[in-house]
Amino acid sequence: MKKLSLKMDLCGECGGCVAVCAFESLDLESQGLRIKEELCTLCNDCVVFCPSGALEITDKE
Amino acid sequence: MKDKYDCIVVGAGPAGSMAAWVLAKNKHKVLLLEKHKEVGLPLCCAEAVSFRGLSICEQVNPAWIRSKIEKIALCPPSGKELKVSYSSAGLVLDRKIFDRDLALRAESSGAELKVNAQAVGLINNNRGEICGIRMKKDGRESEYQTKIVIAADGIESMVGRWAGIDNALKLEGVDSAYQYLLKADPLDQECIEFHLGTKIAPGGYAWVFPKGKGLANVGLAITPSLGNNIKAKELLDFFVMKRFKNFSVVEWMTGGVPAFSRRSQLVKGNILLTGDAARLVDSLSGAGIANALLSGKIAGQVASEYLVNGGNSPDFLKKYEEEFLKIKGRELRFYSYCRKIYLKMRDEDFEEVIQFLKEYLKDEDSTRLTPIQTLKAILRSNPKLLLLLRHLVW
Ligand SMILES: Cc1cc2nc3c(=O)[nH]c(=O)nc-3n(C[C@H](O)[C@H](O)[C@H](O)COP(=O)(O)OP(=O)(O)OC[C@H]3O[C@@H](n4cnc5c(N)ncnc54)[C@H](O)[C@@H]3O)c2cc1C
Ligand code: SF4
Ligand code: SF4
Repeated sequence: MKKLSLKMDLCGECGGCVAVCAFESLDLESQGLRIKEELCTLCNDCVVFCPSGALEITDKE
Repeated sequence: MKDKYDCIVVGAGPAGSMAAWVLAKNKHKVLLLEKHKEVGLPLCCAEAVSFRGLSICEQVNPAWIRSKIEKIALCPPSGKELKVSYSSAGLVLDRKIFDRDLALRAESSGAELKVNAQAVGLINNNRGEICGIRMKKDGRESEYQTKIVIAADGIESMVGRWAGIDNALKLEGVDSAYQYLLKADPLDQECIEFHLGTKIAPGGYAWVFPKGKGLANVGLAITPSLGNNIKAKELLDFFVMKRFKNFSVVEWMTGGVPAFSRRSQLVKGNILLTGDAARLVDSLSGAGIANALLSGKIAGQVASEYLVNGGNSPDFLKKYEEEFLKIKGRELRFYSYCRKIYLKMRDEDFEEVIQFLKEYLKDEDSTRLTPIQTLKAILRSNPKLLLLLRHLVW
């Protein structure tokens, strides 16, 4: 099983990933980016968008 | 539900603070929400704006301005750059000061500003109309009533989506950017630079915008669908190594720039979308400050008129979209067309266009040319080779 994961130290909180996600599974809160796993289809668009490589699709432990 | 407002503005960037200011000046009860604990942070911007763009604010505070642009350099992959003197090209701002000042100006005119306050949803009445906002502050949710909502919540905007506007961006309709604030040398403090080329920045460009005191915003944007999985950060690191002999990184930031599309919707019922939330960015240059200011201002004016003539139906608010597009629609559509061509350009096309401009600008007074005139001249010279003078576009 796969999931979307975030490397927080690389994230600049620009919100671009939120804007490209067509499934509203990302939310940029005041404390940082939140992934709503239950809505994510693993379409990969946010991973391609992210300017710093902070997002990746990884195996679920 | 708690307090009642005439208008709730979501997001205290340039668009939101402008809208809140106009409404507050007209004595309406306005709430301006900012989810961060400080206005103006984190910042994702290269901070350049034209004099005309900045004058939309009406009262300009000199403390906003970090440097004046006197020259522009366009650098194609070969390095055979074109440098033009252009004394009225624009300014580089300090947006931390600028954004905070605009929010405080709205507040001193009577708007209520709440920071650390995130809008998390809209509230419908039993007729299905939007009548309020849910807001989260310090971990607690509360509800506020309002007659109008102005969405100024930037690229990550959710307000429009909650209202049923599908404005998710496609990977070819957004720029993915990374920027450093560098202490660097060599640097010409009066000259802004644009570096073009499919290997330097596929579907985008790299920039150097001096900010005074040996500092500069040095960034790079790509169109992610053309990036072949290379990240803007990797390309920028490579560019910085090549461009500067010495440098040290003072700050870094990531950024997303939405491109305007014909589909962009500005009004739905009593919700008005402004600035980046409405995708009102020049699709070619990525400039959005002036459009954010103008859309915020017009949204505030139309909302104010609506509130005064209480009998109006929400259809009246469509006037905002009409008025904004009357002023900016043609320009935004033109740049969006130019972006499509730009994304197809190859390195030899960049060389040819810069060659053309070297000749063209010899005969013309560049300070009198508008960006659109220059772009049209390029198109006329060879419709295939369109290089937009992105710098002239703010
Ligand atoms: C790398 C980069 C370089 C750029 N360079 C330039 C340039 O040189 N010149 C130029 O003109 N433009 C530039 N732009 C574009 C410019 O930064 C934007 O167009 C401009 O900031 C848009 O203003 P805005 O008010 O619409 O949104 P923003 O400035 O993004 O403000 C939105 C605000 O809303 C807040 N918010 C979001 N959601 C919520 C919520 N739910 N509740 C409460 N608050 C919320 C955010 O925290 C933010 O403060 C650049 C953009 C990038 C990414
Ligand atoms: S795109 Fe990347 S840097 Fe920007 S908010 Fe998303 S994860 Fe963070
Ligand atoms: S992988 Fe796709 S669905 Fe999942 S968060 Fe990213 S963009 Fe949204």
